Amino acid sequence: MRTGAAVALRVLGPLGTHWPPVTGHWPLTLVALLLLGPLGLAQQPAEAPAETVPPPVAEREVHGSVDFGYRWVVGNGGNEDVYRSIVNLGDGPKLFGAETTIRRPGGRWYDRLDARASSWGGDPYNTARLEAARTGAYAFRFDYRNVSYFNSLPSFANPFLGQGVLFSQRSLDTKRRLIDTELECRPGARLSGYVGFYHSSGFGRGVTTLVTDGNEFPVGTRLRDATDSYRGGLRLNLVKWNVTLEQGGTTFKDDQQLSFGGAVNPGNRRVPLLGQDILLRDLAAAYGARGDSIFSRGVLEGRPWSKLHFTGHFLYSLPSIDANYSQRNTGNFIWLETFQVYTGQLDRSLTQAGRPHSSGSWTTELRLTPRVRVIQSWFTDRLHTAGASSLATTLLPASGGSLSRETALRDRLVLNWNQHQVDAIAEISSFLTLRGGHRYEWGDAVIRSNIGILPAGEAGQIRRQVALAGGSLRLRANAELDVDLEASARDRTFFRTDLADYQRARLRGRYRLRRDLTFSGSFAVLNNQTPVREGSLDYQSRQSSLALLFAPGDGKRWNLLLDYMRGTLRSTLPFLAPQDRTFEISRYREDGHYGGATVEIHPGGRARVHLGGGFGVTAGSRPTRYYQPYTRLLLPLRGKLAWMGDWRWFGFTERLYASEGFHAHLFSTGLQVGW
Amino acid sequence: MVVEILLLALFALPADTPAPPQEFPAGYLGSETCRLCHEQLGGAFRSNPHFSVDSAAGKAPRSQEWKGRACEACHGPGKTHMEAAEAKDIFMFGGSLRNPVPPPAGRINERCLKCHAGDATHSNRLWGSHGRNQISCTQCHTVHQAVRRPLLALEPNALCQKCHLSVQAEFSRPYHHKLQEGAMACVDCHNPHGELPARQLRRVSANEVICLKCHGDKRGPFPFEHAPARLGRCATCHEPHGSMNPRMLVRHDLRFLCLECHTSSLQTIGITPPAFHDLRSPRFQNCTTCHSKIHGSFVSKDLLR
Repeated sequence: MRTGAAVALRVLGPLGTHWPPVTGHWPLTLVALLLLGPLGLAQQPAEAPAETVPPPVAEREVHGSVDFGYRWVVGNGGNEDVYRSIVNLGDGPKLFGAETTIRRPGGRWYDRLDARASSWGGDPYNTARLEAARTGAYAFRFDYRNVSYFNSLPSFANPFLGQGVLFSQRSLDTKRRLIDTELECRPGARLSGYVGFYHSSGFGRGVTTLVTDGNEFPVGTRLRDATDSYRGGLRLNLVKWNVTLEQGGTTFKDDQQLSFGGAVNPGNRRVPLLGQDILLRDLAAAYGARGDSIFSRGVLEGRPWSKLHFTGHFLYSLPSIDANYSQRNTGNFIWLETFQVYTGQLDRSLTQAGRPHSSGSWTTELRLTPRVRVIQSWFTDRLHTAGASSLATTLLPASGGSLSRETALRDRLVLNWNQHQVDAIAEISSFLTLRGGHRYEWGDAVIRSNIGILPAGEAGQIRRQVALAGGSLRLRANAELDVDLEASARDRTFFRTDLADYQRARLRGRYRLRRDLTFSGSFAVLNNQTPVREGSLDYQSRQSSLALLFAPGDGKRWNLLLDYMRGTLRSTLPFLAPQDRTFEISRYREDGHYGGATVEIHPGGRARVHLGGGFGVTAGSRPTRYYQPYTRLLLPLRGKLAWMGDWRWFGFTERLYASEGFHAHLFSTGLQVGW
Repeated sequence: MVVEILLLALFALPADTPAPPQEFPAGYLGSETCRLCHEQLGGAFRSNPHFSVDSAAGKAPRSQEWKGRACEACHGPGKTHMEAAEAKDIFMFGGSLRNPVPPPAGRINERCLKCHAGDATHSNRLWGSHGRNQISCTQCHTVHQAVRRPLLALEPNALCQKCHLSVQAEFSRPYHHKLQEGAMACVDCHNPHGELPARQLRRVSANEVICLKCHGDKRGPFPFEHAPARLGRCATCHEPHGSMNPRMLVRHDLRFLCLECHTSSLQTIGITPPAFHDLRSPRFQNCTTCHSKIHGSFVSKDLLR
């Protein structure tokens, strides 16, 4: 566990907040994993050096640690909203992380218990996880997350950015709480059962717009939604057969509110329309949506004989929702349909929607010879959303009286999508495996039934034939190469931006030059040229990555991890400009360099120093620079007590939106207590 | 309350009683014999979940079959190996010192799946790209040197990023899912063992896209749907790992993102041409300023409210 955390920290960069405890035998096992990790533990001979094997454990084992301290955010310059939208780490006392593991072989209540928590104390991402199990009796999992979501970027949804106004009209300052728990009884037994519960709720406030004819007004909004999902199932586990049956239900509610008052909101239109200033003085709007769903899942697996394995799934869900919406607004408005000026509006809407959704799959693996196997898979996904809405609108014309209108609308969305794939995999030799196959996707979708300008609705079809090939090469224990190739001829797709006429190649390789030096790299290219009526969708992306791990002397004193990725993306597609109905070109370019480095130094004893950071620099349509260097120290004080400190710096600049830049230093210090 | 009752019922289950010694089939020696030479491995194995096979504490259908010889359940019969003291006589998942090339992934997986094929998390194994691409179970899992449950060789995210280098880089972009921050893990969205199409993405509520597990307010059903959101194509507009563009969008300018689809076309969805908006005005350059219910609306067919 300790070594894994250290490796994760190295790979993930600066934001790991929980140090692996200083106690234990971490250096040697860390080195072993660092050296073995890039090539997979599979390459390690089973009769490994004795020091890499954990010592025998006592009957009862308890260990863990807690990291706590204080963080200061200093020198925060630039745009605070953007800092919060991207980083959002604040200062104050923190519980950076805690974890404990208890093993009690043969324990009456549990024989294994793991608990972890991270980032408590006002940080934007709090997590807690508890897992407990007693072999053969039960397995319990509880997962809690509390995620803050702040998003207020001045360049997004801001018609007045050019005038120096740094106010996004689509902002959010919300929290989302997630609870996911499952209890499985007699796991693995011939007949086992499980129950699960899931809760997701979001709440907070933000800015959105109220749209009227000729103008739109930024207004405040309060968001509150919640989803609760319950499920239970039975599993029949036989030696050659497995059956799973699950039944569940979901409830959902959404109570968003919009409000404005006490001032005059001129909206985004700053010139009169038909001689009228379109203004909002007061608004109260509320959604009340209540929904529920049932869902079922059935899985059948069979291995009737050693050369045949098949799996079938049936999935079904039936969500439905009833919603009401009310809106009352006053001000000065124009109804463009009749060019009527009105000062008040009352809307009330009742809607209902349902979506039966069924999916199924069947997969068969046939081992023709010990070295050749064929996998055939089929999947179908069908859904049908049907919705109906009635809207009663009452307008209060400036000339007096009232004007009422009722509108009833229906809408639908139908999807029928299927996929069939066949792969043949041949182990040519112990070091070479080749693969070839074919995938066919077909289906149709219909949207919009009785609204819009086309009574028949919009329809799309997908017909995609894809040729597949690949191979894996393993040269001794120090080199491996994987290749994936995919190509599709011109066909039909649901969306204009879908890839239709494309070729894709992926190469991934690793090479261990010496015991202490490992390289890994990957290359991917995707090229698409789909003809469209007005030109073609010209899409090309390339990604080249290289990583290096250097751990001289088995990394006892220091080791280094470097990674770099160059990614380019080019997309060109004509589109219809609505103002003059001529075709213009949408061009998107991204040329990015991303990298990271971590040096881990062991100056002596159990002290550790981490230096490193990550960066991302892009040119193209949105030139951006983002740097995150960091330093971390861990100094053992006494026994299982250690002092820790870290410094991080975040720097963000955008060439086109200079007002969105920020930089901040973060210092934290604290103690780690182990047991 | 229901959970509490179930817990109480479970805790009340009696502990398993040790079974009498048994005789092994021809060629097998039993784990105790293995431990004579592989002392440290054998000692550490007592805290391993697979020890339940040896002790028959587990409930898996085959665990009784392998009682007392868990080592040989994976490595094969050990009698010849013991007599000749040759690695070639036993199945070595990582290869041997003399021949360090591990067996082909298919052979390794076959060993593991002998017992684990029926695990719930493997029910979509045949759909998985890892299996097709010769990624063996032991690339991620290690029985004897695990650092994290369930027998993982590294932390879950680090395991994924070991191979998926470019995906790791995508999380260094400023607008990203909070993976580095510890708020989530790769396996929250992807099932590494395989999942129904596509991209090994998990599902919630039987057959809904995994994105809706957290973004529940986008679930609907809405009377007025936005097709990409409903057809499970969140990635039509969003870069799920990370993006240089706000809201993790695939385009820097929202008008281009929308109009690339919403252009008169007779063969694809999006045939409805856009209304008259002068895109030269900043008012109309960010479509979601007005079309705020872009993921689906209860009220407005134009997704305005």
